[in-house]
Amino acid sequence: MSTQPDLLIARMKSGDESAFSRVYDRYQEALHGVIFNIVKDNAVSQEILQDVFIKIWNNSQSYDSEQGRFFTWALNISRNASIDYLRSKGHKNSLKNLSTDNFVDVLETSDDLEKETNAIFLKKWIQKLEPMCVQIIDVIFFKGFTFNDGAKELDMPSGTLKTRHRKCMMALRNMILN
Amino acid sequence: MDTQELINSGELELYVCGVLDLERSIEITQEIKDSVEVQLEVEKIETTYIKLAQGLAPSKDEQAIYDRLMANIQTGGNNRTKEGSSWTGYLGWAAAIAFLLGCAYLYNNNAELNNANSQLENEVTNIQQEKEFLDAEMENIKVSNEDYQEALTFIKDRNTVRVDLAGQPGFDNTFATAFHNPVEDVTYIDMTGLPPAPDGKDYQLWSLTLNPLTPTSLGVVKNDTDLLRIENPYATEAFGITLEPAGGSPGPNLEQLYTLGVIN
Repeated sequence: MSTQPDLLIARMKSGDESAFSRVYDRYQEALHGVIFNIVKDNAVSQEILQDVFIKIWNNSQSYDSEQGRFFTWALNISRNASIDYLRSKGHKNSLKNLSTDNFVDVLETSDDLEKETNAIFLKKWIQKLEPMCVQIIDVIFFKGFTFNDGAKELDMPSGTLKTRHRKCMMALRNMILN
Repeated sequence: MDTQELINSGELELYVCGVLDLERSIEITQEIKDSVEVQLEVEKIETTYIKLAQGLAPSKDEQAIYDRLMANIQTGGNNRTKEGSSWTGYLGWAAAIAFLLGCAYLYNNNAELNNANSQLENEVTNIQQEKEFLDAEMENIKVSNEDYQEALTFIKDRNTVRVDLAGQPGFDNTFATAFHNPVEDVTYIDMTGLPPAPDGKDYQLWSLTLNPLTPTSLGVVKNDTDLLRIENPYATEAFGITLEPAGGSPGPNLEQLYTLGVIN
């Protein structure tokens, strides 16, 4: 567990490239995972990852720590850039599949993840999660549905979604962090 | 909602996922600032999501992405995709990039070390200042303790007499206590029964002989400590305390005689 590197982020905001490269090192892999889960194409996901970090660099001044975590800000940029890509390229089927596929489908079917150590561990953990948890985490974290849209998508009251999401994340967290 | 309720509510997970509305997110940021427990919880949640997402990251040409990215940001967002003219050109660029990366790495490491170093130096300075302050405090307490020990020994001495100075007409509620030792020629005076001297005024302690009534000044006395030690070589028969203009007077102003006590 590590704290948010506020000093690095502040230095990046003031234009320090070395701070930017450290921020890149810290977050790129997770953001790449989020992007790949949406576009499902390695080459495209690498292009988008690069674009995301250019946006982070160019717009770092607009990150406001009062409004949330840096990771959350970067996560939103990554999801939006990925969905924009699917829209702009007219990937109608991909867009449609976005709401039906979940991250476990991607994890289990993608050749690009077959030999990745992190993916192998994740598969092991995911097997122990309830199927409902996979859907909830997929909708809330990976897809970034607004809370109400997520509740509609999963057909459950928003209060239930909130507490189940917490329960699912605690189960995953106990496996990942221990 | 208290800290534990907030943690159990599931809102912190939604906060990290970025699906709460802005107003609630700002409130939670404040909760994080106010509570270390909430902060630690949010960090654990974030780490879990990061590890989860990392599991979905395919392999990539790390160096190529990084190089393109840096080239891109250094040219203000324009892609640098010009073809080189010959292999020597590539070699030159490769060497330059390797050199720059090396420099960036060293600079970065150095900057980081400098930063950590200056933070540690600040902490050392703070701790040193704190230590000096505590040393000084301890010295004060030691001195104060020694003073009390000395006063106690003095009061217990068989030659020390206690003199109660009673409030005089107009100042009936005031009092003071003197401990006088004619062998050591020392008097301790406790003036905590007197009100604070008004601005521009001071209390003055007098040694009195009674026949004839002769006052001798023992000096200006402040009533901000409970026991004040005064050298008193005079053949004192009584003590009086008057209120005088700041700095004291050559003779007592008897209209402002607050307390008076005779040695029995």
